[in-house]
Amino acid sequence: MTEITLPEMGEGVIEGTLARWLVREGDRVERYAPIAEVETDKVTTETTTEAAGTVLRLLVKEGETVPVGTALAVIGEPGETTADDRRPTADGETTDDRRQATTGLAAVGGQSSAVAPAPYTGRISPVVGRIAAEHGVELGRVVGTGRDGRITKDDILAHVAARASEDAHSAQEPTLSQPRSPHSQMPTAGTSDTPQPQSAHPQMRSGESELLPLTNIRRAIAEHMVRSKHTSPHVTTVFEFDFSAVAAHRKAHVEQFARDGVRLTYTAYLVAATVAALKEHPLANSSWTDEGILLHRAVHIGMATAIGDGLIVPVIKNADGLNLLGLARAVNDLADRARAKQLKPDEVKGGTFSITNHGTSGSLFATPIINQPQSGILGVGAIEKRVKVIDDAIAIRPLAYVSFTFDHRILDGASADGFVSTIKGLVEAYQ
Amino acid sequence: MAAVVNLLRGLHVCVPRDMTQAAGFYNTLLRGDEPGLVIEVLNGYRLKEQMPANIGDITVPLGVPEVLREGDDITLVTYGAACRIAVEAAEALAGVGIEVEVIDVQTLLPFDRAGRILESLQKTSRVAFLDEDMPGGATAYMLREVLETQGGFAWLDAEPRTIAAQPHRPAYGSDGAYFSKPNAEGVFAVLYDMMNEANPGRFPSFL
Repeated sequence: MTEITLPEMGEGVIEGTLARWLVREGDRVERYAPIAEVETDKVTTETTTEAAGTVLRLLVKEGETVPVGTALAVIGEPGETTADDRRPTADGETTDDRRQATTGLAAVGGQSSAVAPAPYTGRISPVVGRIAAEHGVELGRVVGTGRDGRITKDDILAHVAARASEDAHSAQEPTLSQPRSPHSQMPTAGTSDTPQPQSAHPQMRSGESELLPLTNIRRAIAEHMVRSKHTSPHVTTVFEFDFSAVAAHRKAHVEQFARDGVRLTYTAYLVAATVAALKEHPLANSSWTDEGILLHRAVHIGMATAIGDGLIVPVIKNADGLNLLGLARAVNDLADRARAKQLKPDEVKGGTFSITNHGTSGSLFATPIINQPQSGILGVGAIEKRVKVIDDAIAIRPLAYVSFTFDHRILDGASADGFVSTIKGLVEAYQ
Repeated sequence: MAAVVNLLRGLHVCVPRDMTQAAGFYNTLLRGDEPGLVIEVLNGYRLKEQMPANIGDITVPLGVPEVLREGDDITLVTYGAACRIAVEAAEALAGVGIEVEVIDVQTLLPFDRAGRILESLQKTSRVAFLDEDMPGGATAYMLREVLETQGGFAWLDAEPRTIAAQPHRPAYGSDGAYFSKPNAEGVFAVLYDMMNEANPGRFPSFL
């Protein structure tokens, strides 16, 4: 008999939502067979069983959010009785009740209480130390919202107040888990005012509108977008690229690449040109910090990819070490696996620059939002044959509008345009 | 100012913010027979203020600060000419949602006998000291009084700050004075930074 637990899904991922069970109680499963889809704020992945056998019990309901390490299911031989084979109807102390109590508690500090909290290593101001001692607060459980995550007087007072009200309600129905990710604790003014489900819009009561529950991915996208607009002064500059040279190169090489099992797309060329331009303009491959501009030596390119219910940005790591074939292969692989929801959480982290190919859906040009903490994002519009005047003659060329949204704290108009000009030059002279 | 305070122990050192308060101190001191010093604000000779009808009768108590503006976020302790700058900065900070409690200590010797500053610090947990002295001058004197004598340390949630003049002889002219002495913009920057430290989400750092 084996308990299948929610696995570690990457650094910083502390909980997951069980999106869908792929097996039912009584099903026979093989070793490493997928048994459930688990959603984190970044990706949806399949959880597999490490033992073969029969699914004896499913311990978590679909839609429930549980911390990493929680038992999801019990696999064993038919007829085996599980240790806690008591149904919630029998007595008060059931698995479900215990689990809900855990989630309820986790909601207090936004931290998982199943695991011991990491000790707080930040600065403790005199007044915070006093309050912690008076109320017996373990500082590791308090979410710090001050600079560098310092626990401020307001944070600890809020924690003490939340704990007091939690104690008062503990006998009642546990407050259910707004799924909270580490990102939802970002100290933006907006998050604390997130409307609670009960504060419904007037239209909803009259039945004219319908409330679509937020998925973890939707919620994470919303938070990232608001935070990005809140963080960086966005400026967008638009260039027109002539893809004749790239089209000719692609036509000549597409079959050769196909023999290597790689679909050669325009995106691969753009990534290649962007990587080269980033090397020339290191400011475009940087992040703003209050201490200074952090120039990244490594070039990790994020590729914004639309998936069914949202958007995800898988990252081509060390893109500057790949040639066109390698880049095309990475672009194919990440896009395919993103759509199949098979990305590993670490594959969507650590980007230093992003490219979004909105042209695939017909868009001519867009003003993309920066993927924080990067300094810019390149948006590529649809490539279409248009009339262009070249040397006072009318020519028909495959053209596309390429927009570059940049953080005006780091780049200025001239430096940003210089960067895009470099890409344009590389694309138009591609050989 | 620190030199005056430290050389003249045994005297009352009154630092009125305007000529009305100065008149009040003269009346107070003249009613007793203890030696005292009233340091008038030079700006008091230039700025107009309404003259009280009872200018000969009003008295200002020694060692009792006056709260010029109430607030919950930061306690700003000051005296004399810097009071005007403190209030100006506090009004600007109110515009971005930071409420500063401005306290005029009125006399440096004796210093806040009632513990009014500690009371304010217990509410705000953040304190800054402002004057036109050298860095480490009378602001440091006030800092020691509040943190050590009054026991304010235990109530701090942020590093206490001092805002003083630039450490050089004052430059000439009004623009020189603006540069050499603390100004409302500089006070705004220091106090805003304290709030940014506490709540960078609500008070983001800016260029």
